[in-house]
Amino acid sequence: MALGEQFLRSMLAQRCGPGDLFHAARYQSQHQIHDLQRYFGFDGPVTIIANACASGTNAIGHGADLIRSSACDCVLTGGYEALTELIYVGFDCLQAMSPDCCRPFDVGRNGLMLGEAAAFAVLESESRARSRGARIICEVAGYGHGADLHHLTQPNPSGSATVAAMKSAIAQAGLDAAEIGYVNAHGTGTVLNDVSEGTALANAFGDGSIIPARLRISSTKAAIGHTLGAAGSIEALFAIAALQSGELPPNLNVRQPEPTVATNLVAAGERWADVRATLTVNLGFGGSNAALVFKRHKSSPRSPSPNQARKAMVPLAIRGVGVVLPSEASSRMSGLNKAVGEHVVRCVDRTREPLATLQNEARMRRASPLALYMLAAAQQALAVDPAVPRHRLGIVASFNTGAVVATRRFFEGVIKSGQRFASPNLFPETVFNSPTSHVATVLGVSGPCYSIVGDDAAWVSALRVAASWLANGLIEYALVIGAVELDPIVIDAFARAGWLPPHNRTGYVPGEGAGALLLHRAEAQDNLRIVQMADGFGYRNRGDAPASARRCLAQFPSDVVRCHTGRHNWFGRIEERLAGGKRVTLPYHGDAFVASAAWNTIAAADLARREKRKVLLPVWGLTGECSALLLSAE
Amino acid sequence: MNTCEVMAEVSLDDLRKLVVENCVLKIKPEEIGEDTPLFGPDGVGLDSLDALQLTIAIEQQFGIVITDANVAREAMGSLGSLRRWLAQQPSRSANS
Repeated sequence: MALGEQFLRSMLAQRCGPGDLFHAARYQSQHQIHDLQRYFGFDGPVTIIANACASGTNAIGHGADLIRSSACDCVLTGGYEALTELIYVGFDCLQAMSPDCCRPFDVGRNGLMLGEAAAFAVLESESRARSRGARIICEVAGYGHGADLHHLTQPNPSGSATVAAMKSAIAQAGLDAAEIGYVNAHGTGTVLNDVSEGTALANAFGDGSIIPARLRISSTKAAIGHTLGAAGSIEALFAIAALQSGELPPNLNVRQPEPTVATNLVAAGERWADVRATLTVNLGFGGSNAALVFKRHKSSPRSPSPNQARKAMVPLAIRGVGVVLPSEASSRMSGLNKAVGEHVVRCVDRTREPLATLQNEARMRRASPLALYMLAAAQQALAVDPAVPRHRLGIVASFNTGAVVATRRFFEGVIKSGQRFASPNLFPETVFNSPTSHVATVLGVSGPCYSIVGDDAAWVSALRVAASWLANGLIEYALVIGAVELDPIVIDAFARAGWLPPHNRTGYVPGEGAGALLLHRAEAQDNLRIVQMADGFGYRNRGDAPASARRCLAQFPSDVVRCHTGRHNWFGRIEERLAGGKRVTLPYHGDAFVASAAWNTIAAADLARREKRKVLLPVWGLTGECSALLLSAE
Repeated sequence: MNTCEVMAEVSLDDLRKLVVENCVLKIKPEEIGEDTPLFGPDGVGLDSLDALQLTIAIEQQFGIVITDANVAREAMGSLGSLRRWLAQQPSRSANS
């Protein structure tokens, strides 16, 4: 984020320097994770969940889901946050920050305090941990999550989504609410969060007004601040430490507690010898809610079975598809930096139906155009089966730069008019999961919703998430969406990266739009399916990218039709050199990363139907991951 | 410098433009009547984020700082109430 801010400043100031290339090439979130992978020498799939302030909770919960569904044996998972000017100014303009002291659950609280942190945990299957003689710290026993459709930045005063997340985490752990000894609450210290959360806690653990005093509750944000993306994971670690040691982290700075939690707030020095299970809960912008339950691990008498066979992927039936493509006619877009000049792009025509009408939806008013593309594609995918029950539907959206139009406009305003005039209307729209939240609200989906970020391969990560939800029965249908929007700052970045003419003469054209799939766990009558996925074949540079691509493709049978994605970039040349089978070049609508991956998946499914053979679709990520999908219509 | 003069009257059309631009409304400015409630489902449909946005826009355009949420709520009830409230404020140049 800080690199992106520097890049925008530099472009607006009409500066050109050698640092620009670094800033343009490195500002996306996946780079830090790819660095971590390289440092440790890991080679597995990467999933970056950007669910605002619940992301860290979702990360640990999703890691547990991956192990439960046997997609992975061992997962390194966590959250991180480094404060930047955009974030600080954003919370300031919302008047969400305390001018003096953060007092969670105090009746006189007046706002939050921002913080930065990183916290990670290693999750593994019990059999693997036991077979290597690991010291088991605790069990991730339950995970619950869902969306609050009330408002983009305010929780529903009833706390209903928070109650639902906590209750489903407790149920998955096989516990009764009375067996939870300690809750690490979200407790930001803002007026609206703490009152809604207090109500939620009273409903989940008490009779709606009183919570039994033996349940100990604290927000640790008065001590370490609200660490946003890291909050969920660092607070999960506090809940785990409480379970291990019996020492409970105190709720600092309370003078007069909120009545709902008055008898429950942890005082300094409290110990609890017999805590058998703890819970952590987090809420985020866009209505993200997530909760985790940790249990003391009891070693079972079963002998460890380290070679537990990996379950085959549950085939995913494609029930519906939706696309928002750019106009056939190309247009031109300039960068913010005049030296970058005008370049050919493929833009979506927003004056066309259904986009023109959808713009009038209340939730679309302030939204970045991306949300509109996602909504139109999602509605089209759902149109084949309008009876899909909304309470059994989940949404996984994948992004590269996310709502870059809103983000650029917000920060450009800060640079030009000063921090004091930062726009409270725009700031919430800069958050990755805001477009997903808008789509969920318009469609009425209050179940699981993830926003996944990364390079093109994030599309396959999103499909992987949907597969795990469908496999474990969390939902019956999944909407998987890939969406990209263009903005002048993107043209600056592509130009600096050398992707545009005159440096690139391959015919590469930046594009935008969205694609969506409505997926279902395949039944006998469903013949259009995604039958195999491979992801996470990381590469360090262009030199070792071909080897990663080959290793990825080696996971699949060879008697298939191979799609050539027709990309006009250096990966296109690698693709051409890869040997094997019949090849079909897919239509090119401009390069729109995850949106292109979605369009290509739909085109490949169509091809599988026409050819009556399995079709292999490579999804090459431009910043470090090679993934692929196998589709079948047999 | 602050003066003790009362602010020159702001036209309704100026305020319509201010609200439509700042709140990214997809309606024509003239569709907002003088007494149409700005907030809530029975009016223009603005919310708490818009209230913060308008507070900032008023400071930026007229140099008037609103610190009291109750004052803001009353002043921003409708375009008419906003115009009347602005007319009562001591004049201050936005750039001073």
